[in-house]
Amino acid sequence: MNCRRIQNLIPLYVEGDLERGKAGPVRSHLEGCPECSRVASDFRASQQWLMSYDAPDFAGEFFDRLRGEVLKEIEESRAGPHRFGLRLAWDPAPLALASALLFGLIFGLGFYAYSSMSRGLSTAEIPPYLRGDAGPIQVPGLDTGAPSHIESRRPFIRATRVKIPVRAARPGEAVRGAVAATAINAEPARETLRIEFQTGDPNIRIIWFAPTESTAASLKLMSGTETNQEINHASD
Amino acid sequence: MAGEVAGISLMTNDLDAIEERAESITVLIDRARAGDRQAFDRIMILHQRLVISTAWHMLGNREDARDAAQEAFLRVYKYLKTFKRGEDFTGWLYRITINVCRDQARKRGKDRQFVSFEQEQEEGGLASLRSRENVEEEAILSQEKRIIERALAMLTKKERAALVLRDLEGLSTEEVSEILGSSQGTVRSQISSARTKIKRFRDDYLRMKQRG
Repeated sequence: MNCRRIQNLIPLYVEGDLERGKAGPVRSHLEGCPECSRVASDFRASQQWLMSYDAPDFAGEFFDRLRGEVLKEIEESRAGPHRFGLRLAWDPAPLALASALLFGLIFGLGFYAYSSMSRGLSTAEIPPYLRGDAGPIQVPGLDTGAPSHIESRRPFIRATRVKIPVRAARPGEAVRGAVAATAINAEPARETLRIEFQTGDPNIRIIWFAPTESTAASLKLMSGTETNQEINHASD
Repeated sequence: MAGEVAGISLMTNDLDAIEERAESITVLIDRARAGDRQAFDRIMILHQRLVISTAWHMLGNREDARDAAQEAFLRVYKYLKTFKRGEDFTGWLYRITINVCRDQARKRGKDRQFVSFEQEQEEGGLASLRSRENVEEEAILSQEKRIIERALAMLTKKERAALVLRDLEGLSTEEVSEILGSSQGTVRSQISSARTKIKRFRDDYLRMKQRG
């Protein structure tokens, strides 16, 4: 070992604190190295100096007073609420546990209330004719990237073939939109494309009934005003 | 031969005394747990010098040491029910005392970083120490002791605790590591660093003294 390494070990060597096996090489080095030997000697002197720092000889009265104060505090803590009594009762562990439980309870209730409000209808609650049990179909050219099955509370678009019972519009009755278009000249229970858009809000779902390709070919899809005229004309 | 017999006899007597003392401590603890004030007072009498000496070495003045000792005994009373039978009561007491002293030093902002003796002089540390100490302490503490106290005040709390227990309380490295809850390697490292800082501080002090 070189001098630098030895001098790093000297603070422990002088009081016999080195691990087993390290003291021997240090001792051998010190015997042949005056510089390291001088450093060791300085450390011994420093240790002696430090150890002269002994505690003063406290008088018996000092200890009597000390113990008297301790016993007095203990006695007062037993008698009733007191500074020390409060200090004894102020155990942070149970308080921390109680706070954590209370926080968990509040958080749990809040989460339950929120999820109840935003749950919407479950699959079982949707009437069968709206569930699309006939099975989803892919709309040509419409790549939604969404699942083709029912998934509550997640946005999706799907299309299903359904039979819708329709009736002829009465004279003067305003009929708008795609359903009206289906109704015009339609036979009862014509096959219709039912397209559903589930929005991000679980409570809002847009359902659009559109004629299938074969139906559309036989229908003229017109704007609302034209549709009314067509309806009126048809009724005449 | 007679000497050997006498030596063995002395050792046996020492062991008996240690066992008797351990047994009496256990009995006193049981009685104190049951609410016996006299038993707790007896426990304090048996350990008051240990506690006050450690507190004084850790904090460096009489008032702080007395406050720390008082708090340490109150904690002993408070946690006596959690003390496990067969555990080393002295080690447990040392641990409580060291923790109380650390808390007290933290409250009073005494966790200072190491600076040299010259820096300490420039900052007027010794002058402020003198003005703060009362006359009684001036009489008790010699100049050398005050210098040593300043040297110890330069250590970190962990270094000081390790050094006080090892060099001033005379415990083994193993005992110190158990009390401080650190590995023996960590304790050795802290002790080595502390002794080096103390020596450096003393070297500076001696140089200043020689210059007058």
